[in-house]
Amino acid sequence: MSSPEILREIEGQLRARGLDAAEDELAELGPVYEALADWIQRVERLALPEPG
Amino acid sequence: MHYLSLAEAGRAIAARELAAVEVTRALLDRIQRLNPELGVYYAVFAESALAEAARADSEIAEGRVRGPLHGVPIAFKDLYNLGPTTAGSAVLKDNVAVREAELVACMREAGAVVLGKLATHEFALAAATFADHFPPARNPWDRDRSPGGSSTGAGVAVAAGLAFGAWGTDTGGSVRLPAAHCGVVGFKPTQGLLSLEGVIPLAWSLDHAGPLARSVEDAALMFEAAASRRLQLDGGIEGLRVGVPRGFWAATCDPQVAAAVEAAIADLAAAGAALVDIELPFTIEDVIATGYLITMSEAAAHHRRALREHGPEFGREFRLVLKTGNLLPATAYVDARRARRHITAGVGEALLACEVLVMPTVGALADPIPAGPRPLGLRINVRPAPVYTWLANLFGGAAVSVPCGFSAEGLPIGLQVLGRPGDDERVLRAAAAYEAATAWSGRHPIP
Repeated sequence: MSSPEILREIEGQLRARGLDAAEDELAELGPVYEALADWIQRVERLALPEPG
Repeated sequence: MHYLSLAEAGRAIAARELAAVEVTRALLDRIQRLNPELGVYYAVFAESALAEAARADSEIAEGRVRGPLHGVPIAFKDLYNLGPTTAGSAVLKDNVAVREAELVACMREAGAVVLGKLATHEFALAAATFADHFPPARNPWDRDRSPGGSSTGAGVAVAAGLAFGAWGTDTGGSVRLPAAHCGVVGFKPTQGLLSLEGVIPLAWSLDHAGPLARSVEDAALMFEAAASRRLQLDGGIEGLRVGVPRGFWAATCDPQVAAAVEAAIADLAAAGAALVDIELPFTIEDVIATGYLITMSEAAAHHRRALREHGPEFGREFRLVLKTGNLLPATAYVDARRARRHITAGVGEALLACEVLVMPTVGALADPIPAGPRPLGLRINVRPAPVYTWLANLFGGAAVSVPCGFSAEGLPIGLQVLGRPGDDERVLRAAAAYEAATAWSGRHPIP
């Protein structure tokens, strides 16, 4: 279960895009949001600079 | 008749040994009998298919044979604009395409008979479940299991003799995965060779159209008609340098799948291929992270308005994927695109030491169909499912899945052959040589 701060952050980001999330959806999105950090770091490490 | 190859059916119809009407009626009868238990077709165009078949018979009788697909019944994943077009989603349950996809028009021009629209994972991504708006397609080898997706219906239709070929779409493996799990051939051509005009997108920069069929030759015939080019599949693989990047799959692959693929690699060597050990400069986790970050970002952008206006009508898994895509920073998308360049460069380097790469299509057997939506954590996970198909979507090269064995439970296993962009002929030739040297493609799940 993600912390209330993480869930509030997700809720705020979705609201900023005109979206909402029910409580059960937020509960599922929390751990996913945290797992994404691994993927985001991974592609940052792999990224080649743009040509030029 | 229903398990003739597409090539055999086309030749028999062209020679007037079989009437297209007779073949079409046989398949329609079989669909009527098996579709309720297999969930393959969302829509069947019985009347128009028989009319198209009658027209084909008339043209052939007048000596106007259009080609190997003339009079041959095929079908389309329900992502192609063609009549009722739902993408497997309640959001589009009443949608009827105004204009047919270019590839549909292309198949009509080739004289193919269009049987209907095939089941799909919702918008080509969310795993089908028993709780979905549309009932899930069943794997004909074990009806409690998924046929693999997202082109679920295409895999089942071809495997169960309910079409001679089917068009799927492939963003991260959606043609090759159902091919592997259903024991048929699935071909993802070089990116950009086939039109996606009129195909509902998942991720525009990774989407491909591709055929599924019961043999490499049949898949090649469908590709040839769609791409207006001729391929030469004869000639074998004597001296072909086949790269084996074991490090890419060894740690994540199911042992039964790994054993079947190792046996296939030995078969390739026995057929004359020269095996080359390859080390790729990235991991399966790198590839899956890159593929998913691009896909979720592009899908979220495409569906943003629909998600705002019709959010509750999306299935839960796809809705959460879209919401996750909306949580990604723009820099993650940019980095994923840059990581894709790294991966493309790495494959390009590997393909200097060999002509094709081989690997499992997917390192797992077909999953049971879930009762309800899968938790999103199963998809977005530091240890994701061992799907080795994303790679070809990222570097854009040709890739085909061909049957290479069965598990102890009787579930099909697929071997994937990949090549450089533009090397579609070489990739298919290697797969055809493997197919000719083995007997896996001749098995059928239902008499």
